[in-house]
Amino acid sequence: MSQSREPFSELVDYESGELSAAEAAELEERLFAAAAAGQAADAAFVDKISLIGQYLLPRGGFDIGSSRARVDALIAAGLRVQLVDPEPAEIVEIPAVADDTEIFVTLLRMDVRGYDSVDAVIQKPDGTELKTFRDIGCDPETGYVYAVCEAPLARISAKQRHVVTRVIGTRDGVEHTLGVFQSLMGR
Amino acid sequence: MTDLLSAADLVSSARQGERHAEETLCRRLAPVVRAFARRRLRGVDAVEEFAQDALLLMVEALREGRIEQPERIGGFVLGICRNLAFERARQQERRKALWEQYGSALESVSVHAEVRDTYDVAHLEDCLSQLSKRSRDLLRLGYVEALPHDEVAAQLSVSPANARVMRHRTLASLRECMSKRMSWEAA
Repeated sequence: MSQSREPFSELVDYESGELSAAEAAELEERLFAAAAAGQAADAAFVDKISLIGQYLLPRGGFDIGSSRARVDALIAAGLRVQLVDPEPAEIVEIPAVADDTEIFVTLLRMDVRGYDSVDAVIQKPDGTELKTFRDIGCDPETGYVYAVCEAPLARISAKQRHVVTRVIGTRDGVEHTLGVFQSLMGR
Repeated sequence: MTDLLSAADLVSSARQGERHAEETLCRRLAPVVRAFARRRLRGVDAVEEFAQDALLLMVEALREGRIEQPERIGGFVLGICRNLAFERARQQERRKALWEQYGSALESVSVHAEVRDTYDVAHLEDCLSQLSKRSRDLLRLGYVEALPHDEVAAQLSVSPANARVMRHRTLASLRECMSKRMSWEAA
């Protein structure tokens, strides 16, 4: 049975306890032999996710939109946090990431509470979609979004000098545009 | 009722399959076992694990009728604790010696080593933000906190079978995202 599974799928089943003891034992034989031969890319990928995840989790990397309390906790933990608080406007200027910044936080003063989910769609000025931040969280007190980001990612994202952000809230299956603004990224 | 029995009577009752007698002995001895552990170990998890190990060994001995002097059950459990502590100390000493001699060989497989490549960190963070919150939660629970699959499912309030489907989809999405350059880098 295990032979018919796609290797990555089989690995996922193995870790989730889906395989029988016999299938697991057989996979382990193959997995260890493959790893020794440098051919266990799937296991290496999952391990990478786990290890980097362990690094990101206490630094807010899983938050994708956080709270003031979380940002304060990051600062209290000794991380060098650069908090950017631009005035709400049609075009906001985001300063460059400082050399010694570890965590870059952009405060979005927009109350996004009251929706089943909130996404932020990032586009180039010509409308080309760059990415969508899905299910962003917010501060429970104010509804504002503290966008927490590792400094290296903030620097890479600043390669797009000019972006348009569309914040969309979904309630009962209906999308509502909560705000649209442009950002000029400092470098 | 068992609360009033002597230690010897409890051991005798436990040997005859009286589960309340076992429970009473566990309740009586758990505080001192934990005290023993707190004196030697750091962290609530380590203390609790030690206490559980010691009490499990006691219950095993009770059921197998291996306690030759029932009135000295306290001393017997203390012996278990000392043996466990000795085994752990020996294991730790062995570990320390191995680490000092060969530890440098493991530097390349640590979290620290994995996050040296800041591009990989940024890439994973970028991809995480494009997943739904449930998918991020699944990754956090299953691969960062390394919880058992059934517990991951329980925390996500889905069946283990549904959690397995989520696991497949989430990892497949993540692998696809990680196989491409970040959208920020697009010209």
